Amino acid sequence: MWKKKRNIAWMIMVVLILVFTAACGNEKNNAATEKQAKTEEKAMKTFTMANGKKVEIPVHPKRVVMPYEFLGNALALGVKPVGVTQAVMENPYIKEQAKEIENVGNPISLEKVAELKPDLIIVYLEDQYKQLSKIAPTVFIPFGHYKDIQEEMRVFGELLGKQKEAEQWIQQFEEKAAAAREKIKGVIGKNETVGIYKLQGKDFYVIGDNFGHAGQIIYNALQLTPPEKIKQEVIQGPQWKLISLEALPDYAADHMFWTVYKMDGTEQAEKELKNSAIWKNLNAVKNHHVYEMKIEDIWFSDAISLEHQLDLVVDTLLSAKQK
Amino acid sequence: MSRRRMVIPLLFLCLLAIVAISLNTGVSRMNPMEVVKTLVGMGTAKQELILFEFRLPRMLIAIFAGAGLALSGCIIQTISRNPLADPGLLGISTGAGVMVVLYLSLFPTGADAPALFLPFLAFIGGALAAALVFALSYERQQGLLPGRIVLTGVAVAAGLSALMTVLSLRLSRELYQFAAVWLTGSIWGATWDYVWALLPWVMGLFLFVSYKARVLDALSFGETIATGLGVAVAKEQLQLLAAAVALAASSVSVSGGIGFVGLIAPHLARRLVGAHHAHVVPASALLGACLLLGADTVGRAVLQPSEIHAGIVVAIVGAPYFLYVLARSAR
Repeated sequence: MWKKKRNIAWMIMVVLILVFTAACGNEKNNAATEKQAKTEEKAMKTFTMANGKKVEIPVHPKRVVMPYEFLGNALALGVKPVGVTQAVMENPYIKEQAKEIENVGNPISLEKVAELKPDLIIVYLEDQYKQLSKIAPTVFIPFGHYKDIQEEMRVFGELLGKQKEAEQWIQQFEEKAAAAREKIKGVIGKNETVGIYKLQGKDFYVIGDNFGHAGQIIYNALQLTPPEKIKQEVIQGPQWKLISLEALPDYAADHMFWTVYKMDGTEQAEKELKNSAIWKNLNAVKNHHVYEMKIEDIWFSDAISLEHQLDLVVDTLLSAKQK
Repeated sequence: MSRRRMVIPLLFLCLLAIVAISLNTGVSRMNPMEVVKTLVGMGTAKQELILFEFRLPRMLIAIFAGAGLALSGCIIQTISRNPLADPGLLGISTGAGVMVVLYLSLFPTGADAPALFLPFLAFIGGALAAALVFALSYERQQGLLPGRIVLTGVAVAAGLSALMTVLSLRLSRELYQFAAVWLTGSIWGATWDYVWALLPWVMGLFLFVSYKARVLDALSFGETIATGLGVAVAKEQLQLLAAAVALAASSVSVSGGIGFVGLIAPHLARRLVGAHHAHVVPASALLGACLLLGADTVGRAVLQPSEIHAGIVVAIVGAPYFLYVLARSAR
């Protein structure tokens, strides 16, 4: 009985100490946010995010932390961030520039970001938004939310205070795209269709025009035509569709861009695919109009990657034509 | 006997030590002097931000969720007379997940909900899943059958997990990412709201369970003997299991599904302090807190700037311990 009472007394002491610490902490928390507010004296503007909420951001941010997937956009506008998230896959087109930028981990390390003292943070997941907003103004940009790279670059121009540079980039990209369309005239016939396909693990996917994998190049920049079924179910739908091998002929196109994302079972699945009668009977396969691309070359859809992918796709089509 | 008396104070000191280490751990290098200065209010704004907004809430969540899971495991192990029972057996974390995904699929703007809404839903979901498991394992003449609890728990968890997968397919890409991240455990997204949501539950239920320590002692002998000792078995079992579910569900709702803590902490506590629940209960809570806080600290220290999720660190420690226990009991 006495023992039990003594233990309970210990426990109540523990409780009181912890509650005391927590209460202290909460007070300090208010003081901390106040201290921060006082040191901000830069020119600010209001930005409306994709979810409708508004946030105050600096007109000319100097220290930006952003996701690795958007890094190309910033670099294209001449902005070098102070921190990027951990890359899931390395982007071959910005490898050199990315080396010099601090890695803030994935999931984002709150402390690392705080250490970098940014004045603008960009995220594409909402989960850490609240905590990150305590460090610096945070903007939520959903991934793949904007219709095409032009719209996306305009948003980034506004975010980074580089509207003029954004317009310049858009203009030169559209000029390049027009020139590219000229170059490939005659490679792909007017009534021929083009599709984008991926083998990931053991699963087979059809990809749309705004989901990476050079979709924006093939459908937007080069203005090639998708098969009707892909257009309705994928492009106007969720932008990606998992299909079975048997369904492949329904989604096949005259020209097929094809990529492999290696995971468990991929090698086996690829062998099965290439040996199957279904594959061998596809028009594209019979006419040698299947173009295999490396996943890291076409995975990213930022400005710099898209510029390189434009050249890559054009070269692939032209060199195939010569065979 | 006297060695056993030392255990609980030692565990408490151990916890304080881990707290001290954890306060000093993180990407941001603050030496101990700076930490103390910041704690008293004399640090820079950045240091205060890091310490009070990022590290401290997270540590408190780890402490209370660890204690909650341990207490829950303690109750379940005693009542089901299975020293290897774990709150995860009841399908609580899966139930919590289903509720969150169900809500997000019906209300796509759900991610904007006030901070505590999702944990609240997770709590309800976890509690419902556990209630389902109990309902299915209740045999009117015999009360709750321990063997049935395990099997039913596995079945219910599997079914709910399948349901969760189906529901999550209906989510938009962004919501799916949000849900996936939220479900794997939000210790690193811990804010003070979560701390205040969890603290009263765990504290209150801890006092309740401590009060019932004698009842737990009686129940551990089996229902017949317990009735002989004057315990209203059915009523007490129900109350204590409700407490166990509430403890586990509230912990899961703010920290995601973390296994092994509810299994190892009470098990180890029993080996250290004996069978009297007057000691086992506080020892379990302290061990659970030490374990989860320690795991979180290690997870933050090892792979900077990324981190290893606390649940994974616990599993790395827990799996070998579990195997060791199995090996010993096989002899």
